[in-house]
Amino acid sequence: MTLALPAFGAGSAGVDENPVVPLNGEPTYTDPAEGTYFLDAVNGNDNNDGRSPETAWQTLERLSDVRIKAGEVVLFKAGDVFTGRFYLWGSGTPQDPIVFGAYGTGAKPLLQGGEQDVEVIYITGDRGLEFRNLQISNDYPAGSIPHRYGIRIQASAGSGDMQHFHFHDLDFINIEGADPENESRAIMAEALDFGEEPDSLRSRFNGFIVEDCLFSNIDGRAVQFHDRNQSLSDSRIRGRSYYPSIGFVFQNNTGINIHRNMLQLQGTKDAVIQYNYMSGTNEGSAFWPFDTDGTLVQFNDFRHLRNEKADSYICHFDYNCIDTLMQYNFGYDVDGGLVEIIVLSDFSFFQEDAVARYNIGVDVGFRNKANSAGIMLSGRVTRSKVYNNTIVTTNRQSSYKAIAINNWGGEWPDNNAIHNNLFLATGNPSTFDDIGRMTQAGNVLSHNLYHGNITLPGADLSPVSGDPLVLFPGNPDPKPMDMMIQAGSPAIAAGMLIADNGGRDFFDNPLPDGLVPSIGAHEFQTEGMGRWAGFKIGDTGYVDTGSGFLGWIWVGADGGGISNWMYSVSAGQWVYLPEDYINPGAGSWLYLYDSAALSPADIRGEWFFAQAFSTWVASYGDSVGSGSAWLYALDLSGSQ
Amino acid sequence: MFRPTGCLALFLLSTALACAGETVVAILGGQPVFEDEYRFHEERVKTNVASRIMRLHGVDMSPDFWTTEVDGVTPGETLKNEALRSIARFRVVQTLAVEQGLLEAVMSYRDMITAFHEENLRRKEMKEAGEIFYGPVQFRKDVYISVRLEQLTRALQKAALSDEVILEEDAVKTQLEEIIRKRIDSLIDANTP
Repeated sequence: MTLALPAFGAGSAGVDENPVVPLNGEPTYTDPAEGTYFLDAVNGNDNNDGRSPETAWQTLERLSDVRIKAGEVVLFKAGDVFTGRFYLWGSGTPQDPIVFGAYGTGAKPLLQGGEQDVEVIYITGDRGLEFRNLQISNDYPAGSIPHRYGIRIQASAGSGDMQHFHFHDLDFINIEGADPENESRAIMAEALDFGEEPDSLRSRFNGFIVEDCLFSNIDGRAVQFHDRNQSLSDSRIRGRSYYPSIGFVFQNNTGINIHRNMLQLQGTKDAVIQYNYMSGTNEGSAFWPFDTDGTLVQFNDFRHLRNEKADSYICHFDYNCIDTLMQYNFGYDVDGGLVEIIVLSDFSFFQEDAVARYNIGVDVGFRNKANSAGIMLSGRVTRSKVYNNTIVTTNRQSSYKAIAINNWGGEWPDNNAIHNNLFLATGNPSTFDDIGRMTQAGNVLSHNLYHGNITLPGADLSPVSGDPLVLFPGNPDPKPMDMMIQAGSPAIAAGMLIADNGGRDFFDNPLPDGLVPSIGAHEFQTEGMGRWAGFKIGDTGYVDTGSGFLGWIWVGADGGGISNWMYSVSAGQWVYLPEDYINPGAGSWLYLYDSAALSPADIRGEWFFAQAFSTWVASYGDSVGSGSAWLYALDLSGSQ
Repeated sequence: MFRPTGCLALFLLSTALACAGETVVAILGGQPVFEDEYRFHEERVKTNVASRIMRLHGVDMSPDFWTTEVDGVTPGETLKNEALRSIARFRVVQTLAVEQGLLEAVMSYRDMITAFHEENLRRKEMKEAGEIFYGPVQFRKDVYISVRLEQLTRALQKAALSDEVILEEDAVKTQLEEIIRKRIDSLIDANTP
């Protein structure tokens, strides 16, 4: 099989969406007329007034001598290299931020640290800042400074609400210090632990956005956001007031070759991490939250992650977090695994209500340690839900683990649920570690599908077996679409009903409430022909079926009540529903809605092909109109 | 039979393509390097080349920085060489992938730019339709090309790892980089006039 390079994209030729990059020319940046201060590394002079390209300053150090006011714009000349550092003096506001950017045409200006510069830009206490279209590097591995930074931000005690830090279209390339511990950062933002403080003295970030940035060759973490001041754990463990950072967004970024992590997050509430691409770590996951509340992680593509000791997961939930949701993420070639939910069972540490759903991992969970698996729970993990994920392994590694339950002494995970996950081991063996723990302490393992070089675990209350008919499980250049299941898969409609399931699968197929789902990240669809689950009508709209809609016609053989029989219009006969599909606990589709409407003679509306029976059946709708409603298959609840 | 070689071949090809409205700035592996491709790679490496020279030789940027010799070579010449090596890498990695059966054909720079626009359009449409996809909503051109080459390099490493001789990942990376470097050297030495 060949890697079809063009297949990465599809469709007709489009337009460049970046407004500052013409289609066939060099990029140009901010109009100089918008600048307040200018820096030109070649023709500038620090004795100039800095107020025009012709009278530009020359060095970064010159910026440390001027107080920059709200709304002012500092521009660096494109193609130039500025060596050194500057200490920012001045704050903007969300309405009138101070903006740092580029002017002219060509390569982004490079701001690089000198040999004795810990960071290139240092900010403490200031706020209302935007950085755009700059390239930043700081690398002297043979120097004397252990850890280096691109932009370093420290919130001092009493900084209050540090509003508006935006980082857009920046290239951080080569950030490396001398320390073999690999702890340099491209962006480091800290609010230190100042203890319990009165309201007037506390500090946090409010509105911290990193987007459209490139991080390449970072010998540590690309971004570390480190708010230790009155965080969730301060509140829950130490009884302090709660003052988390808010408005954190990390999106549309690309990371290539980052030693530890693309992002490590601490002390936030309702942070969003989405649409990022990351390839290649040596020692860690692409992203992990610590001490956070309500973090949402979705639509990310994380590949080639490594750590010979621990972690290195696609969906990594770390200590002292609550309500973290990771969904619709794709990962490939990750030695740790797909889902890791952990916390030390000591002190009053916590890890509660984590959800990992509709993620896909290919060739994951092959580190030869107990802390590696497709799904791994460890320590005092409580009420997490891991469902409808797809984990496919091959023969590219010598062995894999599917599920591991661990701790580091003390309590084990409790009241967790692992449902509807698809484990396909197409090559070398995939095993389990302490899976019996899933039958204890309120944990439940059920309705997972296991196929290939993997055994059905006895701990699974309702395991499903059989070839799930995954489209291209062995593709050497795997893509999410390869992991779709095909018609006839035993995964179809074999899952357990999950409340509040997000409404969509990995591939944007609907998950109507009350419908028995497929197993894995793909809710099987046969567009236009119906299926077991609901499906979208048309490309642009939906059919509003009204409250009386009956997705499929079926009646009890005795004229009422629950039965195993359904009428097939095309076959002109009643078909028998196997017991597997008669599971009142799994869905609402067995309940009669209106027996008067169940007469075969009353059939009207749409026709559907029932994959499970290989026959055509018909639906019934009271009304047709516009609006968002899903057609139900086998759903007689009438609730849509 | 007369076969033009070296500078004459470049002259003839350049002339032919110039007549077709294209400006050829170099030939690598028998294939022309057009100006837009060259400019893209030059811009991509420019500040890093400057940075390296400034650090290695303790010189500052000045109006004649690119034309003043440092150790017998002007930074401008170094920049041109680095830009060509960047282009050569773009081609060598793809060629290796074709040889390994991992890629159907080598894409030209312009093919890659077309693929870049197509990819962004696809992502834009999916975003507008509220559909689920993964990774960035829009790639920048340089980031897109970096990602594609990185993916191909990873695929080459995987292909080497799946050979019967089991090698450590780091050893494979080192060996592959050595192969790429030698091929780039070969292209630069043999074809750059």
